[in-house]
Amino acid sequence: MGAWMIVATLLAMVTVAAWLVWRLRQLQGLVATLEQDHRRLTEAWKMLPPDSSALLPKGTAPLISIEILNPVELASKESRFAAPLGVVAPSVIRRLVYERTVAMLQDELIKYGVQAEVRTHGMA
Amino acid sequence: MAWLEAGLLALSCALLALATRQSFRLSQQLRHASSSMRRSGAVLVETQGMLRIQQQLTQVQRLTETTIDTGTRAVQSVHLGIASIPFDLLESYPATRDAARVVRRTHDFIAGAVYGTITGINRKVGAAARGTLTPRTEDAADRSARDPGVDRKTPKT
Repeated sequence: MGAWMIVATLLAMVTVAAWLVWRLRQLQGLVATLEQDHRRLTEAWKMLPPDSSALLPKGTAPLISIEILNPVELASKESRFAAPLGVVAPSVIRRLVYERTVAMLQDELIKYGVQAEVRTHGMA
Repeated sequence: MAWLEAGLLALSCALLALATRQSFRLSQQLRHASSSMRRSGAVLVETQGMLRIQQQLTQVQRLTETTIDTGTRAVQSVHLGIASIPFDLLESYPATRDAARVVRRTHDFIAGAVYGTITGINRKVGAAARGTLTPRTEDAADRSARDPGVDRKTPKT
């Protein structure tokens, strides 16, 4: 009787584990569909993230990349003229926000004793 | 019976290991999807804000253009009305009639040209400003081009 109980318990475990695997695969499929739809949308709106790996040859040390997604919103908090300027000349606002961010990051990193070189690229 | 128990236990362990692996992969996928959506949301909010400001600026520009246009026409009509008083007086005397007519024609021609130029410049400036403020669909595409050497890519899943 004891042996049959063990077999029944093991069978139940196998069933639950198999159901778990099947359910997880279903969820993975759903997430993959969601990602695919999202990718299509971002491609249509031309707002795909930059491919930072294109900047780095293989084998180089890792780098942290920062992309500011709301430069005009940030700038308009500082000055009321920033928002109209951001519409007419967004590159000017982007440059100012990035320069300020670099300065802030440098200051904060020094406070924590982090020896780091903070640079911006593609702002020429 | 022992071999059956051992077999079932091994199968159960294997399935649980597989489930753990799938769960780990799923959580990674979800983290990535969440990060991508947060990014898209931030970009959309920024774009929406810029579109709102563009609309406000366009309205201000149209109002300014209309005000200048209407103001110029009003000043022109007042100017011509006032100027016609001495010309009418001068034209009522036979001695100065001919000369007054010539001067009036010249005056009206120059005044019309000046006001016409003001109106034309106002419209041209307005059209140029509207061209600058019109939302451009390629703005997002410009984002890709603004960082030399940085390509936009499809997020890996």
